[in-house]
Amino acid sequence: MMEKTNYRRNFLKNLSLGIGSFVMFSGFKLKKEAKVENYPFTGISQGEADEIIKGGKFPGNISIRPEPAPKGSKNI
Amino acid sequence: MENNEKDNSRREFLKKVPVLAAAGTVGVAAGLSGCNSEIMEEFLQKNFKTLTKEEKKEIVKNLEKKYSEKYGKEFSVSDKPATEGILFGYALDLSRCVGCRRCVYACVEENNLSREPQVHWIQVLQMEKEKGIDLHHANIHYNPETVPEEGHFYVPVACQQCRNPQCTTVCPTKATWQEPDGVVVVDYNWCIGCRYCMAACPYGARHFNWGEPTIPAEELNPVTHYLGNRPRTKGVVEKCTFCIQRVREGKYPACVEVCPVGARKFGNLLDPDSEIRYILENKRVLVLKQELNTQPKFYYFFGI
Repeated sequence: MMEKTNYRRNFLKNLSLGIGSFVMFSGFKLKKEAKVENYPFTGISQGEADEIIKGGKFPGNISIRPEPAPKGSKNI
Repeated sequence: MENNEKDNSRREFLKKVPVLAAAGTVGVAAGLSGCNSEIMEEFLQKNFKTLTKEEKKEIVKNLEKKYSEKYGKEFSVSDKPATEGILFGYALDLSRCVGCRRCVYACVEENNLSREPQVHWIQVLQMEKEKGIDLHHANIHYNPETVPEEGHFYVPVACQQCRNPQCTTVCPTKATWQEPDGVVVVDYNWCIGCRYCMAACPYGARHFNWGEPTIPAEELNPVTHYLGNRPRTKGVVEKCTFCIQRVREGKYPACVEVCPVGARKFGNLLDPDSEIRYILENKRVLVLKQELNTQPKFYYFFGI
């Protein structure tokens, strides 16, 4: 007599295999990304930048005629 | 009876398939035979990344010939690859920039940007000091007699050459990618103009050629790079490449050279003795839209 296939068990087996391999492969990806050479820098938040801008006496005394304004609209 | 009718309609359909396929093949063949070999070659050209050295050489030679004939002056098209150990980075001193837009027009000339319809890879945003960095209310159309204007500061924006670029991941044809030296480039032959990359870029740094670009022949820069400033056509997307044709030859980008106040700094991020590294190590730097984790290699700082 043929054994009845247990679909639920098979599904759960495959699910655990799937999750296992996903974790394994994403681990590889993380390792690869971590290989990108790094260089040190100290970031500044926008709030801090805004404080510097408000208190800063810049740009300096230079005065110069600007080139023509663009025709298009702002993209950012 | 009903079954018979069904069978017949399926048979009829299957009969038509080979006829339609044959007609399609003949049509495509007729269309292709109408093209000249140059257009065909361009159409069937492989992605630049997958080309061999010999294939690149051949393509570059053909392009040089094509451009020289079209524009009536000698053109050079470089395919120089990235140099190992170089990762380009950019820094801009917000306390020095006066918003004169010299960089915008130096970029236009160097990179053969269309004059009409106008394409600018750099946009200079004018902001009010009181509001701080406020991208939404920034003005690009300021036009006073002289700059800087009282109570304002200026933030030039171009491609941020992200380390984690979203524009390249969404491209359905893989026509855009990040080079080993960090420059995000476009293969204009592979761009289909879907503009997904433009939608993905949070900096508005990509520009679509809505019309055939027009550049006066006498103003064309004949020193070009395949992935940079070679003439583009209608229907492709383009962007700043840090002047790839210059920086891979050891020169500064045009915007850096032209800046009258020395606000722009450029160099190799992997060289601990470079000016850019000095800035990153000794100044506190700001990147735009940091929360998006695009990891720009374009840093803003305050030199004061």
